[in-house]
Amino acid sequence: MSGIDRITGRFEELHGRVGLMTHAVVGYPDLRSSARIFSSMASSGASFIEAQLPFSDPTADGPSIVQANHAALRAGTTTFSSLDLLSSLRKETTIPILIMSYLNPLLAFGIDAILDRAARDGLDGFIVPDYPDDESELDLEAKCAARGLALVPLIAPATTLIRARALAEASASPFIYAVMRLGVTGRKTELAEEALSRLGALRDVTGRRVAAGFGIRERSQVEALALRADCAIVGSALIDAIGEALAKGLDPAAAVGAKVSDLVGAQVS
Amino acid sequence: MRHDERYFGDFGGRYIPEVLRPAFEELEAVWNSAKVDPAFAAELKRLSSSWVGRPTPLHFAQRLSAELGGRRLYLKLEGLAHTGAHKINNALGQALLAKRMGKRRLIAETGAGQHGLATAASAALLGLECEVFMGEIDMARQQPNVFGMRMYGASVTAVKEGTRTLTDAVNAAMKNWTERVSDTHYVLGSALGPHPYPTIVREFQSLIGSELKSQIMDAEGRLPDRIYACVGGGSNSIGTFSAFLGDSVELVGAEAGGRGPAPGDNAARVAGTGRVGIAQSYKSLFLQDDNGSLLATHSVSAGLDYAGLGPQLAHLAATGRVRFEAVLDDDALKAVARCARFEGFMPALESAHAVALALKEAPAMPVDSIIVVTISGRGDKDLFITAPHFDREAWLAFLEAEVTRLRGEAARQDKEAARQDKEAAR
Ligand SMILES: Cc1ncc(COP(=O)(O)O)c(C=O)c1O
Repeated sequence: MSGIDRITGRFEELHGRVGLMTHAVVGYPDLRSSARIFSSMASSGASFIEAQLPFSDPTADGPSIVQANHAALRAGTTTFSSLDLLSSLRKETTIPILIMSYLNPLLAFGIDAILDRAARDGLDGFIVPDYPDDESELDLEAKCAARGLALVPLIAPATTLIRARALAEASASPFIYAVMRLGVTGRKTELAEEALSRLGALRDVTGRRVAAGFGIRERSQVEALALRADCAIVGSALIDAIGEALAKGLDPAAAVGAKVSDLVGAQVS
Repeated sequence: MRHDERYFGDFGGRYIPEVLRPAFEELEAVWNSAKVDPAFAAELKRLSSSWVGRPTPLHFAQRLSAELGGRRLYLKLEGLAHTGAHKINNALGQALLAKRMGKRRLIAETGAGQHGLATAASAALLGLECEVFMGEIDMARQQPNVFGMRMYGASVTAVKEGTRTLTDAVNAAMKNWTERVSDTHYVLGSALGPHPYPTIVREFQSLIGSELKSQIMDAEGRLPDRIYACVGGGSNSIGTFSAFLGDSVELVGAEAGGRGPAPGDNAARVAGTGRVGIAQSYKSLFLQDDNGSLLATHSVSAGLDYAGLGPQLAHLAATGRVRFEAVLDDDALKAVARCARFEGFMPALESAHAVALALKEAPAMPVDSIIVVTISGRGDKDLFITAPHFDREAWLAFLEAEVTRLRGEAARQDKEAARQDKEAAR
């Protein structure tokens, strides 16, 4: 099964319920803990995993995620070891796994090499925040599609609906990523009615599933998104849960599991 | 499809996140209209003369020339421009662009503090708000400029992430811009970053080279044989070189050789180990590791301490039109002293890299050679680096005495205030 098929299938299995995509930086706080954190996400009710390759200059990210990137690099995480971790994770769980990466780590590994490896290992797609549609020299979209991998289009608050439609049409991804506010990741987003109703419009014009992220930190926000989006994306709040657990000497994987359960509204026993 | 207008050969582009797209479309549009508008040019020219103090002089370095066996050395003194470096040429130009766009707030990154100072001064001149992002390490080593920026009314925000120097200051400014695209213009300080910045910054800096060309023609009746400039991101060098790209003049860029060639010890991208990558929203040469993360860099001069290189210079390096050499920290420091003793002029540590290279290479040139070095800035800002380097004991004694004196003064003032309070209460 291709990554694109697995993602589509996963949305179908949700039967209209809002999904949860959980994000963490691979190798934060170290590779072993990171492997347990991703497993814990999968077993606590996440519907998709977004795994970020650590990079020195994550320009779309706020302080929590930047700090996690730097900690992962200091702990010796490489692109190779990140991919090894994800291929082990793939053997444990069937939920879709998307790689989030800035361009330079992909270039340094080799674009074809990393896409081949991702497809071979059964990973499902890529999210690349510094790859705009009009710098298509690298041909990432076609190269992903040829391997059955999704390259997820990012839609900003000021992106017009006409442009959103064009971005979706140029992409084989089953879903788009709607960025819910300006700025970088982290700070909690106030979900105004205007922004929420835009999600419905985005779904209509693009004909794709809509995953909404940036500043989604709490169950109440996930509930607010439930009627308008197909998936909520949570990143910094989980990184913060890891950081708090570490500071208290607690198990970060358990802390992430508890937070994910809370976000999906599961009864915590 | 490739947007060729964004590229210099293989380098450049505009690798921005979707959130910044409207800001770049607006900037490109205003630039395209301003660059052909005679009124814009006239306003920039008026302020460049009355406020910046242009044209800056081309100084014949008589005593250094004699030291060089009669080879004729000229110094283009950008350090005599207002705020002490070439940075003002670009900052003022972009501040005028911001006004034209109706923005009310400027942000900037800064390394040595010269670009921050120039932006803060331009903001004050035009009545705009200003916030400058500066690495924590750079704030400590370029303290006089931090104070200057605050005097001009800017807020200076310490960047505590990553390298805590220029590379991370660029990230911080770019991130701030994604929050405030509607009312803010990002005044990028060097000829780097996503299109159209490399072009805008080069154009605002190109008067260095065009002035120099007519000044040397007046002085010598011919073009120089060789021109040197230091290269951080590349604004003073491309501003110097762009007027000469079509001439048979050898162009040489001095990069920071730092403590030596080991990774992390320098900022030599061309003369060192930079490799092609895409970071900070443009494609160029970057000092990076095998995983594509940017390396920490080192230079005694904050302004050259940067992991990337402006894309046009990367292209000119690839074609061989500009030669690049690395200059060690120690040689730059020596060049500051030599310039001060022989010419009565103290260059900035950044500019001293170019001086050091010229002084080293000149003796191998024919004796009738004409050499020009762009002195991008003056050395006042480096007081806290050069004073302890050249005169450690005296400087320490001064600082200690000064701290004691200021503490005593503050205590006396507190006591006096308490006495007055008591009196008023009575
Ligand atoms: C005096 C001076 N020279 C040179 C530079 C390096 O920048 P660029 O290569 O853009 O000229 C700086 C940067 O801060 C500077 O302050």
